[in-house]
Amino acid sequence: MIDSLVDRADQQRRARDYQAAVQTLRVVLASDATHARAHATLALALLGMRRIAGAEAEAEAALVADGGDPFCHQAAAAVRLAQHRLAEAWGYARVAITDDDDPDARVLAAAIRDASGHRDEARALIDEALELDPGHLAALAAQAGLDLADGQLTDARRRIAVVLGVDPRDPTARVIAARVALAAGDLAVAETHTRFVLGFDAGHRGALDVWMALKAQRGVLLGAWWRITGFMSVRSPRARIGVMIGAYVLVRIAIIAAAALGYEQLEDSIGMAWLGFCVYTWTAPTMFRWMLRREVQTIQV
Amino acid sequence: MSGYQIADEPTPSDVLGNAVCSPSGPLLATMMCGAWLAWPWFAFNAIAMGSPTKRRELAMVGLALGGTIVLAIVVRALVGAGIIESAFVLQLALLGISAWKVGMAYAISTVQTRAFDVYTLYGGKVARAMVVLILGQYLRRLVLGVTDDPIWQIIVSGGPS
Repeated sequence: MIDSLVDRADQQRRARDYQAAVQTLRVVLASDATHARAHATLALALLGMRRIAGAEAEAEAALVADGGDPFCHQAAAAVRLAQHRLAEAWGYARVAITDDDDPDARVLAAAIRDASGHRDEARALIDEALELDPGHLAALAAQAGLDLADGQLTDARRRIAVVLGVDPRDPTARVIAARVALAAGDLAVAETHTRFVLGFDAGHRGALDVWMALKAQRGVLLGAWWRITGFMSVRSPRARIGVMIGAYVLVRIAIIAAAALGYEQLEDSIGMAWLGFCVYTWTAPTMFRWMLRREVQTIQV
Repeated sequence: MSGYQIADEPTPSDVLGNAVCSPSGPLLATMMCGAWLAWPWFAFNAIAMGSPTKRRELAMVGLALGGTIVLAIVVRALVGAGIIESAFVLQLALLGISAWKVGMAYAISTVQTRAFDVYTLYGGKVARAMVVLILGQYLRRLVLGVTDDPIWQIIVSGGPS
């Protein structure tokens, strides 16, 4: 009974219905808090919702419950990849791929190796995944991504078309398709794919990156505006704090120096410019989300 | 949020849960009203929301307050010892304290925002911060005027002021 509920939750997760998966696993874990697979599946579902702290705790609970289960290591590797802790992620992934029948673990391990700059190893892992399951969509999408990185646009386009033919809602495949179109100079197609993803998930980092690249190609000023606003809106909190505090200290030093040198008008001007910058950065994330919503209102499937 | 509790989920207080505000409220208070309002507000928010990172947030509030007090005492001692003589250098030293306060406010707000996002995901009630900010603006002069002691002024004032 419990195992079938965990299987159902895993299917919900794979269908990207993360809320439903979390609810199902909540029921499972309320009756058996030491169910390793339930903790691991919950970690992956929470990652889908970008709840990294919760996912990390669940992955740790999964490893405590069964430290020998490769699937628990797979969940831990996915969490570490999301945290950009690539060495640790690879450590977990190496255990995850000891499961000889799991293509998912190999696709994840490939993503970790690719992010670490080992594209050949990533390609070998994807090949292994496709040997296990030739129709594995995530593996095909990852292979298309590697083809794109190697400049093989025709192969990338062919593979991603197969993935989208089976699952047209796959956001990862859509973003890769957008990147392929962007690389081929087909901005309209790239925009269609990106709009599709952002229409469902306005915070998708990959889609936002393509969106900003599209804006930059269409106009220097517009592109610069989108990039600055995007930087203030979607970068990591630590980067944003760094920018804010760095700018604050520089401006205050400029004001103090201007006053000490007797440039009162300059002091006032810097103060007013700083006030404008504060108002702008305060409203930038809201403006960014509003403009994005407005832009992706017309979704073309 | 019944049944199994996930580690990143807040457990709002029954009594104080209705008074939870967005962390941007106390962050704005740092700049508009002063640290006297921002630090207690951050701490209250963490407790009322039942934030899973409550201890960390309270520790950060303690560090922010403690750090400000230490920096204020050091600056006063340096002025008293004649090491800081010019107004220009004093302004730079006060800027350091001010950047510390604003930086800590941003850092606490970032940590608290993660819990707040999950809190709102499950339909948690959010009170309006604007009322507190307006009240804080009104009370600001009263609080700053409690004493002329520069250490008090440094501790309770806001970031840019």
